[in-house]
Amino acid sequence: MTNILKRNNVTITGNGDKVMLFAHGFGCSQNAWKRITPAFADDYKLILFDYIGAGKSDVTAYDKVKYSSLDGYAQDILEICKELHVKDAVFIGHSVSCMIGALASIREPAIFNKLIFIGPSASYLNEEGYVGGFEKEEIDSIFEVMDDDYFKWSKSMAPKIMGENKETEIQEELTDLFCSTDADIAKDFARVTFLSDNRQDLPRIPVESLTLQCSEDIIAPLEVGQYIHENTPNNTLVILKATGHCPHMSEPEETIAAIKAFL
Amino acid sequence: MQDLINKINENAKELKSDEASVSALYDKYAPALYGRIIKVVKQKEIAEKILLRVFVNAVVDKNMKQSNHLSLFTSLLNHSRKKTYGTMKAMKVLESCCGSPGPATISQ
Repeated sequence: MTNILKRNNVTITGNGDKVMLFAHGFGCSQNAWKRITPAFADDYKLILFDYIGAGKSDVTAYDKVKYSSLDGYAQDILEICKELHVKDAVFIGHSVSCMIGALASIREPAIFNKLIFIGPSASYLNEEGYVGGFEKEEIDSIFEVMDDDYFKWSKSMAPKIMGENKETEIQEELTDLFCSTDADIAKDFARVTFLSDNRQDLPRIPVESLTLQCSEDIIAPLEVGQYIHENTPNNTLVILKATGHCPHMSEPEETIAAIKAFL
Repeated sequence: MQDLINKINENAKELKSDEASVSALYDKYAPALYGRIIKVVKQKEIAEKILLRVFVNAVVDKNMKQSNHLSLFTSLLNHSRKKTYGTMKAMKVLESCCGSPGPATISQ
């Protein structure tokens, strides 16, 4: 039988009774949360994990069929929660994990009593009457870039490109995170992420939720956050001053404050 | 550059296209296109990859192959421009969600 906690490299910290579960986004691992988790450690039991293929997860557990949709990833979250007897927890998801958490919540409404979405998108593809932020050709380019392993060159060029940028330290840290992701699984995950359309799931989300939307985000533009807010029952939208797609890493204090205000 | 030509020809073979015509196409237009791509992406390896994809597309695109000289160059140029900016955006996107440091800016 699979050891679920080992499979997803589950780590548990914190001193509270209430549970807070953190689900990282595409290309990251649970390390992505390290700038905000200390703020919740006194009041919550913190559960962090790596998706299969990320961080220190067990890559041998990867199953192309299971993970061909976000449901497979939602199933893993539910299995982790079941294993740890989690109930009425706070879910915090970043990027694609927001919809994974939403799917898990729809399947098992008792597990989470609040969902917090950081940089969510219900669908990345532009359509008539819907702004997702990407044309089909642009999404294809993402897959091409990954297939061609442009990152290897980009990484070698990084110091030259970054120059004296004061964010270099953060960028290097982020790069390390990306490099801890299995490249082949990441390619599959990219396709599942950018081709998913969960707009029809939004009205079915059974619990209160918070959308944290960055003011400038190339991946999830303002219209996307607005769409989620308008189509999800009992959703609060907060537009952060933070720019980019990872406010929990770039602007942890603002992100923490917004989460605490919601809780 | 020879490696790149070989790669394009390999792709052309796989697609059962005319190897000689691909080489001719490449010889004629690649330098001009490459010059424009490298101005934007700044990185030789990435510029060559983009160029490769532009020519692979030219091989499979029947309409492009049947074009006259002027419209063929225009088509290649347009495709090259789209592919260049698409690639730059893709790298920026992956940089944003994965942290891999792509080019710092996208200059239009």
